[in-house]
Amino acid sequence: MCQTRFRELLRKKIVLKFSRLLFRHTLFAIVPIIVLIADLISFPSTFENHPSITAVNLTNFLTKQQLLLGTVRAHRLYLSLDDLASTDYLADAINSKNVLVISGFIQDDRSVSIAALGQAVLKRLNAASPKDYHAFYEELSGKKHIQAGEVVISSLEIPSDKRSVFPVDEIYTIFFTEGSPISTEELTEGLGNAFDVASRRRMENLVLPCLGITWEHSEDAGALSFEDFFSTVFKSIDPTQQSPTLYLSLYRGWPSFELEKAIAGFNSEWSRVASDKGSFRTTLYRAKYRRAILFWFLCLLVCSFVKPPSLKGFLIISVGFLTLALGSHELVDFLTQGRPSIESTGHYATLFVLAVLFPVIVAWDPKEFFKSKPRDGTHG
Amino acid sequence: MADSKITEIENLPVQLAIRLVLDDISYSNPLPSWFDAITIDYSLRELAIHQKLREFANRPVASKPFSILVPKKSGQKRSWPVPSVNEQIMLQACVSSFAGKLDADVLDARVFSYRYNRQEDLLGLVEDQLTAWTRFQDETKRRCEDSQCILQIDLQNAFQSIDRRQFYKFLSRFTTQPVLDLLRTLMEALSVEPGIPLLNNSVFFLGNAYMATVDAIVRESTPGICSIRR
Repeated sequence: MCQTRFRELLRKKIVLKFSRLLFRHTLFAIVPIIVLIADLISFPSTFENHPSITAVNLTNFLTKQQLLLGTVRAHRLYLSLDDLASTDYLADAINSKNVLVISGFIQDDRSVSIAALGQAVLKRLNAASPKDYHAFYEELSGKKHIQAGEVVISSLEIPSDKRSVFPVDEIYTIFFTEGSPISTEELTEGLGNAFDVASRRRMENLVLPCLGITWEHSEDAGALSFEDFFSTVFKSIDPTQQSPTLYLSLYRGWPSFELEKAIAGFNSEWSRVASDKGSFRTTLYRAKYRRAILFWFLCLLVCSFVKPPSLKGFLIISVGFLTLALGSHELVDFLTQGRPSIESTGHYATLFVLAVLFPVIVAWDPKEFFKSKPRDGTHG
Repeated sequence: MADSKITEIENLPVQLAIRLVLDDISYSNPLPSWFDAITIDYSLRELAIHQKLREFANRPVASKPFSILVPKKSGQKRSWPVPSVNEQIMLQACVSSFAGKLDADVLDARVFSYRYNRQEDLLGLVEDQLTAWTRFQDETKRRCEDSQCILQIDLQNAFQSIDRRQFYKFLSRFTTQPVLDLLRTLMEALSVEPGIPLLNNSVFFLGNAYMATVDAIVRESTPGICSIRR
């Protein structure tokens, strides 16, 4: 009986001691964790760049007809082979909020028109929801003062029983100047606007066909090439925006030689955008910020073993460590110029050393180091 | 069981097969010379082939193809079957579904002809054969110069001599039973003579891979001698 009570007391004492220890060490160290969680909620992306493939293989693409490319500039990307007229159009995304981007053209008399893709959309829309078809048609017909690069948003209300026919919630029409090949400047502006709007309206998927590319005119002078198109798309992706998943949609009706050109053009630009200084590496989203916060936590934890935590101590350590961390980032960048393979490791190693040895490093005094030693028997 | 069979057949790479048959190996199509493959509705064609595959899975009967007599070097003539475009697409879909694995598992760098195409942006079941032939010639020349002697083995009537039962048994290592059954039905319907039929790249690719069994025998019988095969 006595032994059991002794054991119970001992257990309580150990638990109490451990709780105190835990409280002492995590009292302030919890702050960086809260900051990190808040950041993850505000910017939910994990990766800035995370390519799933180094190049698209046409045979593989035609087999699967939809390939996950990976994450680029915090946006998830797919390459898909689609046909608006097909019964399986966007079949995998039927329950998501989808945007389809199409092109419109501004005529000399300022009226607007749509090309083959737009006509195909109208046909499909008419089959799915005649009400939306008329609204979309009238909206476009009524536009008179549109600038090149401007985006017109058309919200659709497709009846649920017809959603499988056309599973699109919004159509964004990007306008270009009629009569000349689409310029990359107008495309950049238009895509930037479309991505921005899709992000703000919290759309889940954005389907982007190859605007301005028709295989019949692909050899015309000044025609937009696949390289230019994909390059512009990648440049228009803003990593700070909340991402809709992007579907780069190639037309299933294209002849095979056009698909070969599309894949060659895509691969050439993909190797530029998805590889970091020549190698396909994964980079974390907001890496500089999140890395510093993570090691700030480690630093506070280490310091709690050296000095009892206090608000003043927390502020001194935090300001000191974060300043050192920011400075070290620039230093590592400078020292690893031209050596991308060791850059990331360099950042992590430096922050680790700074966090673990922070109590030692801050005690260093340059004045003390350079102060001349007094000679034996003499005084200054 | 029936469901898994349908799923296997549904998952065949039909879109790829359509393009390979119509664009890459169009020489074997019984289509009029004015036919322009550019005007093909690939989505509708895919739907039609899937429908045919489903029918085929339930009632696996292929029609005997039209065939023409092709003269051989010896002066004899051999039948060249010309099946319908849809049956060629179905055959191609079966072959494409396991072609990469077959090539990777069976063939090595010593084989030059009918290798699986791994060029990223090029549509084709196999590598460019002209380049392959040039590489084979260069390699033969290099070996002749280095070793000063060469033993050439020519397999007479190679494709005609293949035992189809052994051939299907060999293929069963690389594909599923429903796909193999479909392939067997199509091949049997196309085979008007012993051996495997001369048809197009899809069958040439399979036949070439099967020749790996000959490579193994040659290697076993000639230890220490380095062999290559066209």
